[in-house]
Amino acid sequence: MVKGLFFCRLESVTTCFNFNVLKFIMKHLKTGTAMLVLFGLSTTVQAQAVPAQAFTRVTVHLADGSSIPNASIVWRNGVIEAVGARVTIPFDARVTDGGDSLHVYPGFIDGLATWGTPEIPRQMDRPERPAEPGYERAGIQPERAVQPLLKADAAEFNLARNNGFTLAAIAPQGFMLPGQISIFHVKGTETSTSLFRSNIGPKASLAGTRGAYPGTPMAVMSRYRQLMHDARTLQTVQATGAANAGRDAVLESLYPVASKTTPLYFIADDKESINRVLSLVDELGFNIVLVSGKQAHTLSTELARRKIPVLVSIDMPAKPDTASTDNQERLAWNTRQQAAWTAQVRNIRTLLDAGVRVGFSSNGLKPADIRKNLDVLISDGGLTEAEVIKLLSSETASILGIGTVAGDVRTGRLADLVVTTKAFPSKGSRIVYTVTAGTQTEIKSSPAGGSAGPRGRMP
Amino acid sequence: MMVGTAVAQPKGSVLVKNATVITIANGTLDNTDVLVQNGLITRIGQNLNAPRGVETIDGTGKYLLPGIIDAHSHLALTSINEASSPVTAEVRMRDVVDPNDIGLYRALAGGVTISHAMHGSANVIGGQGATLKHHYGEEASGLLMRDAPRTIKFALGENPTRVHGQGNGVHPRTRMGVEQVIREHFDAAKDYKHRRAATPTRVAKNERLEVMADILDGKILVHCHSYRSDEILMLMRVFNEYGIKNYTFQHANEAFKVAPELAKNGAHTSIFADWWAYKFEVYYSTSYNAAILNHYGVVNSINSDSDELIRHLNHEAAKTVKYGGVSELDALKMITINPAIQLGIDKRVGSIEVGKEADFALWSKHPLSIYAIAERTWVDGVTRFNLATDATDMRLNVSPVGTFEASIMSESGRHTDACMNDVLDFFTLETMDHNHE
Amino acid sequence: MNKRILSLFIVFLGVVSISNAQITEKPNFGKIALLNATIHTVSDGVIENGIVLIDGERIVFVGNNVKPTADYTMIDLTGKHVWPGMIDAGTSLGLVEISAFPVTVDNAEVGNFNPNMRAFTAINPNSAAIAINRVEGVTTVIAEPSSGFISGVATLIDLFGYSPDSMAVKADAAMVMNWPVSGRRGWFDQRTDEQLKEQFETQLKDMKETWNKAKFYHTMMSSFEASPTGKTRPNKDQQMDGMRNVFRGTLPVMIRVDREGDIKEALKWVADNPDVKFIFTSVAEGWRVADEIAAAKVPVIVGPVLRLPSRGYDSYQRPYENAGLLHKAGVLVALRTGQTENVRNLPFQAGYAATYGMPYEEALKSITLNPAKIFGVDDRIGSISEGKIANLVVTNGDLLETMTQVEMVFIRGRDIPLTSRQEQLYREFINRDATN
Repeated sequence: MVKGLFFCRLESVTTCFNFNVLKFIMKHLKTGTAMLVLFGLSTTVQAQAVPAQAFTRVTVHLADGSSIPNASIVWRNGVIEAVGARVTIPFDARVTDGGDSLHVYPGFIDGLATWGTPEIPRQMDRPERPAEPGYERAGIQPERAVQPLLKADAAEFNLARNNGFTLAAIAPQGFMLPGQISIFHVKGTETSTSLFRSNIGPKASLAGTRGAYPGTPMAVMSRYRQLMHDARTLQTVQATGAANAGRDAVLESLYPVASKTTPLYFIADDKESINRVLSLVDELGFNIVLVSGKQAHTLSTELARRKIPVLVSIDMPAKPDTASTDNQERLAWNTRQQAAWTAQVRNIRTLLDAGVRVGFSSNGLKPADIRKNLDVLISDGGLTEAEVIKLLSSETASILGIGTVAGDVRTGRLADLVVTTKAFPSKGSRIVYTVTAGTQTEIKSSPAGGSAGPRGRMP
Repeated sequence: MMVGTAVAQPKGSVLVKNATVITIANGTLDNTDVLVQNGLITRIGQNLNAPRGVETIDGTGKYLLPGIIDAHSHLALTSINEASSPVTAEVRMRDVVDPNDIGLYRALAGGVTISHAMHGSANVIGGQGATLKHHYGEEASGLLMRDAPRTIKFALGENPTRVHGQGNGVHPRTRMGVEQVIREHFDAAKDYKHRRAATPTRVAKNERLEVMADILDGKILVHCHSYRSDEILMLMRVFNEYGIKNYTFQHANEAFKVAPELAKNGAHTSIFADWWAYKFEVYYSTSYNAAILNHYGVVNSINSDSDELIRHLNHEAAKTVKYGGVSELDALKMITINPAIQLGIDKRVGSIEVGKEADFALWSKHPLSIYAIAERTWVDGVTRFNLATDATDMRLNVSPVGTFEASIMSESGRHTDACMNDVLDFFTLETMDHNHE
Repeated sequence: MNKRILSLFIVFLGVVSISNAQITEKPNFGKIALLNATIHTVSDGVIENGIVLIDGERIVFVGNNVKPTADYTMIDLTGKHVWPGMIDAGTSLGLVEISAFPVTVDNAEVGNFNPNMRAFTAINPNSAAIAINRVEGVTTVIAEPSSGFISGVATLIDLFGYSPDSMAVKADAAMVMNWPVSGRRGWFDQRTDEQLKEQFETQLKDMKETWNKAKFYHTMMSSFEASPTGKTRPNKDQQMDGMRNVFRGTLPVMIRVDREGDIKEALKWVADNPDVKFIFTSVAEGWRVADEIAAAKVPVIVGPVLRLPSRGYDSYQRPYENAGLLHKAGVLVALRTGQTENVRNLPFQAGYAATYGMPYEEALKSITLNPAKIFGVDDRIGSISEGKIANLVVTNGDLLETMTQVEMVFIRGRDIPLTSRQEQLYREFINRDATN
């Protein structure tokens, strides 16, 4: 805890009473750092007597794009109690006055992040039998929980919060089936212990492991087939109560996938890979949420027809250089590259127009790059500000199955909020507070400034 | 099966007038017209008229040759070798077809309309092949030839013994071991079939052994990478024992040494015109291989196994005339009807006959001449290459990143096995950017 | 030596002994008259119904009006064609036996800077590939080393002889230099763009430094040699010494370079070194820089012609057109197969160049007279004219056509028996006893 605080001192957050924390706060007060000390409580502590908190004189932006000027928001115990222009502020509410200039948005949700998870090792051991390397070495760990793997002090958690993220679905990094996705409150160093939903489904990809089976996408596809056959058979055999049925944690974790209770969160980017995943869906009968989907626009009609939602990556290449030239061949080449770039930055636009449900996933994109790329979505990607907010909040929440409890600024939802100086994400707007499950954090602007917003210090 | 995303294979209509038609099946016909309707050849004759809306092409002074078929290719695949296991029968090349491969267009520009996209030769029993129609411009599923028989790659000799025996210290390290790996898996497939038939709910479907059993049941054509005569004899012995028929030896540089045995067993061969000496097992080979096999009545084809060689298989076929005096017709058969036989599609393609699919190319000169240029290539009656409208940049999929100057200098020539691609990758234990595909 | 390597070695000894056994008869040699042939002189047009007289190693007459004396062996070539022996200006023939078998590969010495290595030294006159290729009409090849930045000295050899000495047309023909490659080397090259750039720049810098050191060494030694009195004799540096003929201008540098940008860089290098003779070889993207190459008067050796376009958006025809486009720009062009075992495909490289834009006569020159010019031996080989060495090919048709049969090959006047292991295997197995 203390160590974690040390690393996030710029953000000056406290969520518990602790002598060290007080000392820390005092130190910063003395040095003149503006501080907002909050007496937030973890959501697991549910006491009636907990004081409320509120924003007053703010513009509230709802996920559907509508807004309420001169409004107030009251929350208690991590849940929104009231939102609107005519809200009575409870006597016990600690109020932050928006001064008629601040804007409040639903907290951003990352549909699939790798934040705080261990990197895949650069070098892997050579297995004794590459043909049968065992589940783990093969990258087949759909039962693996992410919680024990998370690095509590990972800088990304602070960076994510500073960039407006309040919830993140996180899964381990790896190959074919690296593990389960769990949803965490983004609370800086407390993120790893702030579990919101555990094991909502396995992360999946067509990536082969190194130096063992399955090593190529084609073998990975065969391995999915075999896993599903094995899971279904084991489930049948277990149901008979046979004494020798046996147990297999990997296969058992796939039962809800086989029965379509849980989707596979399948990472695929290019058109051919997405087509491969779709062919597996047809053959094996499971549901998917497509993750990343950088070229999903090429199959937008098909994805809409199948009602497959996409947690899309906004990791986009820089705009190609189109320096003028009198070389005709090069001009033609530039034109095609420019068109390819435009198609990619308009990925979400195309998907939305086709009727695909689109949420957001960072999937490895650095938090600081997210804001920059959101600007590109608006300048070149054909999205409105409201659509970007919806993408980042209610749509992602709904795809993750938490749409009724998170993703909007409404009574009864999680008190997950982003507060900005101007309408977001227009240029020049800056995040000043995030509220994560009721815990309010002031975001200090980084000395460097810039549209990427405040940044935490890297450990 | 790509059920959800399957697209209909386009079919076209065309009338080619007044060409020298090399039918392959019924001689070479001067000043002849060929009418194609909805992807099929409907009439061959003289003074044919184009039905309303059907384009007429003047073939005067030109040669119409059936689309060239390459029985050994690794074109349009995103991965080639699953080198982690000596047996990977469950792997399907049709899962990893890359329809954007510019190589498909370059092959069409050489009059090649069908290629057999194969697994590599790292494994004794590799993956299942995909017979591709070169519908460049369609999705992956649009390239898969409908209802083409299933095929599978086997590999004998240096490659599997090097990768698995020397590389990983597992069977096989010798040609002795190769035989036993094959036998073990056929026997395992038989046992599996019995077990599964007895208790279908308790024995899970096994992707690998199902394929092995299908081979035993004659449902899959085996295409076996091989070089030396002893290993060719070995496989014929094993196949006779297990009752497997209709198979093709790929490369088969020493097939000429056992041509009578191949003929007796009805085994086919698919070879290079003149490649040799790039490894020890091809040191004692001869460019007269095709002539000897042809002399003994073995159904032989000339293949490329190379994105470069596939561009000029007509030229490769002409070498069989040069080396050993194969007749011009037989030379052309080796790139048309013979590979069609080997892929089990000879009733549909490989010759210009009424009722067959309209895969052919119009050549400026006799296609065995080095001066011949394919001017237009049709697949199922649809023009997929047209010299008259050929643009410089024929890429389908343009990347938003990269520079204009970027180029890849590929070594030409067979200094290494093209079909050992991915094996290098396999031996590199460094992880790449896997999370982002 | 461990057991496995030992056993491979023993296998290889077997290979050598068999390849040694393939020359079965002595070639005819002496006075030979080729009569009634179509003679493609290359230097002086085509002579119908012509006569070529060979006396010993030399051509002593080419034309129509002569009656050979009775001491000539008369060969009636009615309906046949006579061509100069073909010259492949870039091969590993004689240096490599089986490329996948490292103990038989002698073209790539360890190290980056090997100007003292001579391909001539490692030519195996009994390589099985030599006979197999010469019977198809390639009489002469450049055999070149290939590793590092300076690979060593390429040798120009005839494909007949029992020693490198007897085979050599020019024992030391050119210094081989590999220009650093700024692009990817193939499908297996997974370096990032940054890595590529960094490695390329480092290589280029190292290359220039080494070159300048060698140049300094030459200047220093020359200065000492000019007036040794009163000076301490500098130590001889074997590697640096190998470069001296380059700086003297007597040994051309053959730069292997492919990419447009690299060719441009190499042209600057050429301009910076006016005293050195340069040849470019391989030049896949030469057509993109054809005018600049022509202006610099650097001759090029294009090939292989049958290769893939280097860029995804290139027309499929570019590699076929490359030689023709360079010729059109005014560059002196020769061809190479880049091969070891299939140097015999050289005429087809020219055939494709001719099909895709190179004038036929030029395509023919690119595998005969032009390589002879580039290596400074056109006074001896490369065309059919009086006084030249009798390297000749007799065919039943167009030399560049695939189906054409080679019927006679003369190397240094010797009527080479058209036997090789591949042809012997044919004769043995076409009539194999199928009961055995």
